[in-house]
Amino acid sequence: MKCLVLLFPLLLIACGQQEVNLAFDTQNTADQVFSLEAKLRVLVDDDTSTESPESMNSHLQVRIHSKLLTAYDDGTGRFMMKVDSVSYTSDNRSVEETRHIERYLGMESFQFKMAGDGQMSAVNMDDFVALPDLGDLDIRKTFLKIQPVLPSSPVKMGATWERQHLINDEEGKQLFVYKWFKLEDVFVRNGVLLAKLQMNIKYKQRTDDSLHTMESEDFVLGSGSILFDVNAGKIVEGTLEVEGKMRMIEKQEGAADTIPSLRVHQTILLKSGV
Amino acid sequence: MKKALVIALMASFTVAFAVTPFPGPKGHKVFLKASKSPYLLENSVVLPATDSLIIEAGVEVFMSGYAKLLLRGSVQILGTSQKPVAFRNADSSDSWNGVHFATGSQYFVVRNLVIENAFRNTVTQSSGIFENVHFVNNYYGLWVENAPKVELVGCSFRRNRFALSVGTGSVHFKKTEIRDNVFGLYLEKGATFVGDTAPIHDNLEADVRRESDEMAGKGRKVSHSVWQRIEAGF
Repeated sequence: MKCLVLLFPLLLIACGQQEVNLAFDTQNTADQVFSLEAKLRVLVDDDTSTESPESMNSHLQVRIHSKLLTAYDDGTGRFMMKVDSVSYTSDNRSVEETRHIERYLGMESFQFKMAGDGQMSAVNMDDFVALPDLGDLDIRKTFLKIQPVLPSSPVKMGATWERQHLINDEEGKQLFVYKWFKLEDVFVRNGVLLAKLQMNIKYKQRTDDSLHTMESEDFVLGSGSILFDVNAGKIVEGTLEVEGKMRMIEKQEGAADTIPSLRVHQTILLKSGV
Repeated sequence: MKKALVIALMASFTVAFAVTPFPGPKGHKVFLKASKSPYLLENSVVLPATDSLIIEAGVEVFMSGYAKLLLRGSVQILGTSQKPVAFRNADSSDSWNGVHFATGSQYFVVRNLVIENAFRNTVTQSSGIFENVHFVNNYYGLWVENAPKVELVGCSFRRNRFALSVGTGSVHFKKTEIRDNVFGLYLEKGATFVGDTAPIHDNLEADVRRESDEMAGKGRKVSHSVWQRIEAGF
């Protein structure tokens, strides 16, 4: 019976007759558990070298749980995300540094406000205690990259929309990530109505710390897909491949600009309920 | 009678082993007194630029878990040679995160302090003096990053993995000894070091390492810290 109830609207959506409403549940969602994985490969962009280029590879996997703290009348909700476990490897860090990263990420907890369309704001660490030091990792950036922004009104199959996702850091610097989506498919899996979204992102990176400015030579581009549980209003899984060419500029006076351009490739995987 | 004796014994044990929780600021000041020592820092603490930290001579602070002490306001750690201040791990088998000085324009003063078993102690974008400070058995004894002027006077570094690491910035040092560590002084590309390197000796792998020399030797163009910043910033 449940199947029939799901199948009828599904047929209408598939024929392009009915619209599907995509929205996050920010009002009474149950606690969720996610696995977030990020693989990063950075290579020196040097075509002239005959030897294999200098490179760095890392792999981060965290298990996070998310909890709705407060549901507001305007339809937004305040959530808390807390890291339960971390696994991290890197060919550029020692065993002790790797362990240090696992330990501080393991204590990381942050809160954010999220609207029904998935726009997140005020993504802040609790009490600044776990704020990463220079060169340490911050999972918030990774999470915000893969977070979809949903259409504000119901959409038909094949519909596309694009939104700007504004990401603020603690110092008030802003990064605009342009996200483009297409509703590719709606189907039932294990009795759950799922929407498959194609996602493309692009942004210009410019990050400053006290020593370097890191900027992308052109747009950083990414593409991937999101599986969204339509009735529960939550992400089931997502993948995103991001690629860009970066330049590191040393701020120190008199520093010769000797750091070559670097190609960065990142794969992000997000899975709910694992 | 027996009961009274047991209570008296318990009370004396409680007094003998009592620890004071690391206090929060009162009137924008955190004041650690010798009379209330030892203190226990169970969770990490960040003191904002408006809060100052003052520690009296003879205070001992035990750090549990992966506790981190991040100091953004004015700092005066005023141990004496007879009664030094000590930051130690509460669990002898586990390290703590470390103490981090990010005091900006507020010059920090640290005298007669022992820092043991931390992962990394840092000075970032701050200036100040460490006088008779002993860094023992830390992974990074002291990491100075983009600090205009840090002075080390009469300090020692023993049994650290990386005793003193300097990113960009300037470290001045007098009567400071770096020995019995794995690596002595590590100068990242762009670092300045002012002082006599003679007291840097008997370190297991190297007394003084310069990243720019290592990179040139291996034909590398990208430094360790640049890889890390790309990873952190992307």
